Amino acid sequence: MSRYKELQKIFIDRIEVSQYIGLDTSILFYNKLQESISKSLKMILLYGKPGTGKSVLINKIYHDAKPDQNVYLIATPIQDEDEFIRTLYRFLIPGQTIPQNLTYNQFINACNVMKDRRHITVLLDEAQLYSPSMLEKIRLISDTRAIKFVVSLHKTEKEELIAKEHFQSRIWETIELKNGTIHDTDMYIQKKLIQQNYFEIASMFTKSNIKLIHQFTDGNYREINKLMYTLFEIYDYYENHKPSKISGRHIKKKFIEMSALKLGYIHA
Amino acid sequence: MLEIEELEKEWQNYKIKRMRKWAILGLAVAILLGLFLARSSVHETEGKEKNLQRKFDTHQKTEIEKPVKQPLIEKKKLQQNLPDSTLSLTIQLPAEVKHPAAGGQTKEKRARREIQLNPDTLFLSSFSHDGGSNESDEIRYKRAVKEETIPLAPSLGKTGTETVAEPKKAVHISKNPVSGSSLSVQTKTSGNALDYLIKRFNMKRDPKLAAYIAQSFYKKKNYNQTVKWSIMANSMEPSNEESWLLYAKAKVKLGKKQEAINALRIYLNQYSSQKVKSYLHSLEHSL
Repeated sequence: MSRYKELQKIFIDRIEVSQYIGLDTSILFYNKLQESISKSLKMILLYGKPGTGKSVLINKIYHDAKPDQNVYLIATPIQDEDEFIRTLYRFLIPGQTIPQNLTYNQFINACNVMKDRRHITVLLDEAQLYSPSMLEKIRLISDTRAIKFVVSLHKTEKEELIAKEHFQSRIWETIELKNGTIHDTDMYIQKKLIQQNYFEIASMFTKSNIKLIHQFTDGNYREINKLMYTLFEIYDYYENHKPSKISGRHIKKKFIEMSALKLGYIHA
Repeated sequence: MLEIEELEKEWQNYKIKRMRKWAILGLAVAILLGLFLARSSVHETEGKEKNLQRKFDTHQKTEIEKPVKQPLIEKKKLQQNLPDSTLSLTIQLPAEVKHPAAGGQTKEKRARREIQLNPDTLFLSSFSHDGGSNESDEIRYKRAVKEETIPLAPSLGKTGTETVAEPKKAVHISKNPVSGSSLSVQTKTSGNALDYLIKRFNMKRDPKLAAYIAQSFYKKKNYNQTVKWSIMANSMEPSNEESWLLYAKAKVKLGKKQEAINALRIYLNQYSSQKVKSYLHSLEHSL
């Protein structure tokens, strides 16, 4: 496999702890979220546009806090209410057999019993996918103070409304994740490449390259991944067919623009 | 793979469109600039003319009053020696002399009328034929001429310096904060990246990373650190020509060319590298 194919792999968008890149801003959000989790809050809202790193951050928090704290992650929303209640019951009272016909009210009672004995934090990723009635129930569960929720939402008008209607009175801490700056974009690309020991490739990106990438992607990490993936796809093609075109010490602006054209950031 | 070739064509179209945009914009700017310059030059010449006229006015007002006081006989004597160009004096002087006791207002009015007729000739004729007694007047004439012609340059210069100085100031003020802010960002960026790299090196002890750090320091013109990190890289991976070259380049920058040459010779004793050879060659020839 050519090295550009390998480089493409680095920028495949996936939610893994290994994908977490310690940028200035992401470290700040990480610390803020960890601090919020340690406080006695009912709910913490984590929101931002898609691709700002919410899922990666929530995964990182879960991975790091799991050994010392009672932290649980529901990465994919559970649409079935009974299943959701049973999952929370398993988290709250681990090792105990779940009652056969566990109702919502029975679970609330269990929470009230457990609130002085055990506290847990449940991280809910993609919470905008829960139905309004489920969100209402989550809100009521948080009122028992046995379970603290960290709710991760996409920032759209609809989700803001959800946040307003269902959580505003309970949310004590909100963390908004934003797109990266040029500096973040630079660090993100450099660190991703260096993590995989591609020092030479990392040094091929000039400041103007980074500026252009940031201009096309607006510092959105998902878009940066897509652009980088396409860029290395183009480089792979030229390496196999016209290697003279990619000779040189720096990444050519032309290929970044071609990637942007392919992804529809710009139009001919 | 045909897709990439199509993409390249698409990119060429994109570039042409972009260039066209810039060309149109450039043309529009050039036209606007041309119009502006033309307009400002018209204003400037108008201003110059007005300035000249104003100077003539003030000069003539003061100078014309003096000949009136001179005796009529002397002036008439002069008339005979006057050149053709100074004929206006013969017309003007009697008008002034005929009414020596006229009021200040009429005198002024007449003086103004005379200036409009032919101010320079009158002034020149009255002094050029007046012998030694007019030595001071000659000087005054020269000064007057100077005032009429030369002062334009300083006055223009003055306006020139005003127009130049103001934008200069503006540029100075606006540039300073920008450069300051960009500098601080740069320091933060590179510092952060290098800190991260050094931390990473301390964990992994990767010679390539050491070479990369050396290269980063070299880019930052920190040659002492470049030497330190290239030595680190050399010691871990002696065959890496890049780290040896970095070491040599940093040494050259530090003014220690001989040390650079020695190091490259040591490298070439053990390994062969065209890059190192050519750099060594260039160093030896520049000695």
